[in-house]
Amino acid sequence: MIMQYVSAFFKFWQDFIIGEDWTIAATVVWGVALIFGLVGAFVNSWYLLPIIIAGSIGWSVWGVLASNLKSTRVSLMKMIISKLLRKTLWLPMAVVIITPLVAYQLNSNVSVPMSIFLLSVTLNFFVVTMLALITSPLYRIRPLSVSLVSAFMSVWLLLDRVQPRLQELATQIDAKPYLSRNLMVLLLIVVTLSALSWLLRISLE
Amino acid sequence: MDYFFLGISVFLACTVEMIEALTIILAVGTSRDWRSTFAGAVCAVATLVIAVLLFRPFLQRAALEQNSEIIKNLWLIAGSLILIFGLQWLKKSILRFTGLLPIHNENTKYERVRQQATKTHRSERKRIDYYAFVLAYKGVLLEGLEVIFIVLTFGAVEGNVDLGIKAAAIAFLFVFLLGLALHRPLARLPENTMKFAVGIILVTFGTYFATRGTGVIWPRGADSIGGLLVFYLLMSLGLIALIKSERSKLSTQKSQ
Repeated sequence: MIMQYVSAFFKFWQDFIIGEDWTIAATVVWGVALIFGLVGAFVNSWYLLPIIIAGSIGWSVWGVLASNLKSTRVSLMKMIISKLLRKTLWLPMAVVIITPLVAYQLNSNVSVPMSIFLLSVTLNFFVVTMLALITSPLYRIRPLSVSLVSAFMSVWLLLDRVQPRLQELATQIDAKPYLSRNLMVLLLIVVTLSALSWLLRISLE
Repeated sequence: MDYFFLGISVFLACTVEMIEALTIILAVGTSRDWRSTFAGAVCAVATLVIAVLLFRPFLQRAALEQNSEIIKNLWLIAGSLILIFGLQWLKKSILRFTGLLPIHNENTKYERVRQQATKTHRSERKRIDYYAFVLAYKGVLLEGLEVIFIVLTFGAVEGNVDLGIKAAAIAFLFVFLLGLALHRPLARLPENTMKFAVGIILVTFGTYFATRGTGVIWPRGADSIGGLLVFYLLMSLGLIALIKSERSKLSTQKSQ
């Protein structure tokens, strides 16, 4: 009997604060935890939570629409993701993932905070891009525009952060027989420009 | 500017909740016993006031703390709670605007509660009608709890619980006097619009303070709140327009 009262008490507060859709509360907690981790890795991701909230509430409201029309959110999502995967998703993801790995290769003894930073930025933009792409049909934003902006920002931020380190490591890199500073910088520029031009070409088709 | 939004959001939230509580009081009072109904409502208000007075000193002291870690933790927890709570209000108001949820009708609720109260047996020998008392107490307490939650959490992050209490008191008096004058449910007030406005404000401030609690630095400091408000307003209005058009498009496809 006491357990019934205790569970009723907790259920009341759960309904009161979290409500019917627990995914919104879970997304907020996850978003805040993600930002907390990113701040610890020196990424001032102030823009992240509003985007996560927009995606979360769009997803939640969309679920009500789907159930209202006797369809499922999963079937609507499958239709959209299959379109996205054919065209746009893999390329910006490749850019976002390859760029820090290339930057990492500039010096195999890169410090631990720098690697955490690079991985954090990668994860950051991956999550933001995924959320924006998933909700882009709902908000009528072209997925390619989102991918382009996200990939560009990722590369720009990484180059901006890695630039001082590149200059510092210039002499060390020159000493390595299998790496040349000019070659690595050239490779980085080629990868970035190729990805951007490919995305631009697809978006103009 | 922050205090203005604090006052407005508490005033609107309290007005909306008190309208719903007034409907219950009117329905129970007209179908049962006014004295028992008022007694229940007064006891509920007293409970809420005690709850606020219990938490108020703690929150005021925490907000005035010089230790930045304590302030940050307060922002993080209270901001996240405001955000989650505000998203519930915002989501429901968006669903009502798109027609996915029916608009809250105070007249319908009044009739439903009145019929239910009329059916329940009342003992003629007892001085207090316990059914009326409990129904009024529960109704006012549950509606008022949401207001108290906003007053305490919002007041905590702003360091001004007293302003929230004053705004809630003004809203309570406003609805009480209006209900006394009209003696019927306040069905004509734009309840969903008010809930939408409160939802936007709570989500904005919740986002700002929750992220401040993590250590994030906003590019324009407190002025970023204005930008967040505009972002969420545009997002919500855009979502309403898109859901309405998706709904009509998908309905047409299904019927073909």
